[in-house]
Amino acid sequence: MSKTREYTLRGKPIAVQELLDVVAVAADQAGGLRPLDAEDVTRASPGLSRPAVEAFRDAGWVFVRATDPTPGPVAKVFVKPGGRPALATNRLSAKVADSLSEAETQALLARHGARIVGRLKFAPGLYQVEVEPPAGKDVLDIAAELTAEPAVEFAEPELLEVIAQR
Amino acid sequence: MRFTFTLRGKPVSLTELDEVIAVRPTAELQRKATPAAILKRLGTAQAPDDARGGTFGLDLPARGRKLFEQAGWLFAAARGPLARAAETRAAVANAEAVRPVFVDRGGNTLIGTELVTVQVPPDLTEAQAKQRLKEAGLHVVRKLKFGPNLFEARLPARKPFADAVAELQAASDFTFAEPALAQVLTGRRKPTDPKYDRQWQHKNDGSNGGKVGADIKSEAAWDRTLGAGVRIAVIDNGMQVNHPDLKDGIVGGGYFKSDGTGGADFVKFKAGKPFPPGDHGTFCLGMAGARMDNGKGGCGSAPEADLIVIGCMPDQVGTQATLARAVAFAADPTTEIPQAAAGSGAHVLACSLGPNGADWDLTSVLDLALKTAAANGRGGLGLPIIWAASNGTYEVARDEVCSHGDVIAVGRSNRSDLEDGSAYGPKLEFLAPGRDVYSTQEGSRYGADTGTSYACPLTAGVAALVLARFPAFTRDQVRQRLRDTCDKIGGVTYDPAGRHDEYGFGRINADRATQ
Repeated sequence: MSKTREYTLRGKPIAVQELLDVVAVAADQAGGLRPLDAEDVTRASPGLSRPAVEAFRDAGWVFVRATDPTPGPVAKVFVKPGGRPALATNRLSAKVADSLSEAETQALLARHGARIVGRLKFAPGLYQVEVEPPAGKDVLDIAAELTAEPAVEFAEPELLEVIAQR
Repeated sequence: MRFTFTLRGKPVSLTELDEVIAVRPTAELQRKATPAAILKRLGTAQAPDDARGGTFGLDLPARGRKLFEQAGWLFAAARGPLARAAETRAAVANAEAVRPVFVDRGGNTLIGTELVTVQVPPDLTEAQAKQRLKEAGLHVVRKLKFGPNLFEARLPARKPFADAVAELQAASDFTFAEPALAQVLTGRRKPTDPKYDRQWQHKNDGSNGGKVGADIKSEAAWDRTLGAGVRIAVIDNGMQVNHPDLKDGIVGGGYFKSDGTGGADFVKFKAGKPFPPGDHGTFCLGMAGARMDNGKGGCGSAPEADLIVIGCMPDQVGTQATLARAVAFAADPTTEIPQAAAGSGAHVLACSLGPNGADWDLTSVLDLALKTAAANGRGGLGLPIIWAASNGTYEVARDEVCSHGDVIAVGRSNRSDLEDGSAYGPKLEFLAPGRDVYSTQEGSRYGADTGTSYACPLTAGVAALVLARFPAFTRDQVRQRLRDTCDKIGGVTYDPAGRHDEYGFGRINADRATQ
């Protein structure tokens, strides 16, 4: 099962499918869990790229049933248009108005349960941000909330994706 | 000062260097003294070329200077009597000749002589022809027997070289009168590396199969430059930084170590310290900058360029924010290393990472990194960013990174000079060899492999050669030069703008790009 989610990328809405039955866990956090094989995962979403699922597995990720009791943090699995999987992180990239100081930015983010973890120096007002969403929300929701703030130029979730060799 | 004349009816314009002259000491003096001592005795000093701090427009690679010196010429600062002698070809003690120095549009150095080649209309007898030459103030040196009334003649003394040539060319009763200029004419630069013959990408002589000439013409370009002084950054998952054919070229870089939560910590490159390994990155690095004439393997397209190694996402999984940081670091190392020297960023960037499917969406953070690097890199001249297009037959436009306005998307050609099934469409810039090309591999090995990944750094090396020749070029000028000098391969019809959806502007040509 999946449901359609949406977030904004460079001002454009991106619709992705969130897999409801499958989550990803770092392999070192998956002790005792029964990993799903790539076929099981791709069955959860027709069109999901099997090589990309296998690439995540090779990179140390394990896909398990969402109902399995996981000892550590889990990552939601999204399927992008074209079938590319992406894993949620608790991070987003945000750019705020140049006029905002770092302290003002920190205060703005704090109202949304977020904090600066790094400044990206190649553009003014550009930060990597960590979020701690309250129950029932995730990084996509926080990105949407921040995007609605007038002082925020963009806030986009940092999703883990397979960036292969060509 | 400009020196304009005609060659075969077409105008040629050279720049005469005001501050440099060429001196040919007597053979006896050359036997007795070093170049520096000779010039001191003649009342001058050696003129530094631009690579050695000169500002005269003299761009003489060490090899070119050596060849001129072997031919008996020294480049000296134009001072006092010697400068006047160069202008008028007056005799100077202890010197066989003192001459003006010119530079052509391609940066080649030429030395004025006292000779011209003149043809007089064939209806004149030889005696009449010689009389006409005498009236023009010329002294016949020899008759050239491969053309009627064709002579090599000496210009009248005391008249400046450029003026004397201009007067002769203005005379309507000569079929032609052209100045003789001394320049370095060498055989093509063929590397001595033991596996170079397998690198058909540089020169395809047919011995590895395919079509003779289906290559990027590296050897002719290497006669002009090997890319010294230009920095190429290669972003990849990892590289063998101590590969014997690469380590001497690496001048800096670093890698992004995943923190397990989607973030990454930057680790500065240090020779002898661990660096993420990677066959793919090692291959890419060698395509651009494996060293030449070192008795190992083959060489890259810019074999004397400096290499900046940037590792990220060693397991091929990561966020575009990390990739954005890698791009930004390439252009401006202070983004990750605050104490890095200003202006120590790359001059050319190559990246061969990306999904091999059709679609790749671009985040704002990577978009910003690309725009900033492209616009602000190289002290504002701009950073050429070269990226491997997808290996699948998809439209490049569906890949928002490769179709970014600041990115040069490269596809791959094969040894038959045909497109090889990589991404296509209006956003494809051009092709470069990428099928069964030969380069460095992890484990200090060498081998052949296939991918647009390898066409990309090969092209980056050519961009580095262009910048070595024309360091003031903006990134747009580099891009345009690479486009304009492509060979129109494939036997297909290119549109009026010179493009074809499967070939872009054609297959890159290092020889033409560096002229």
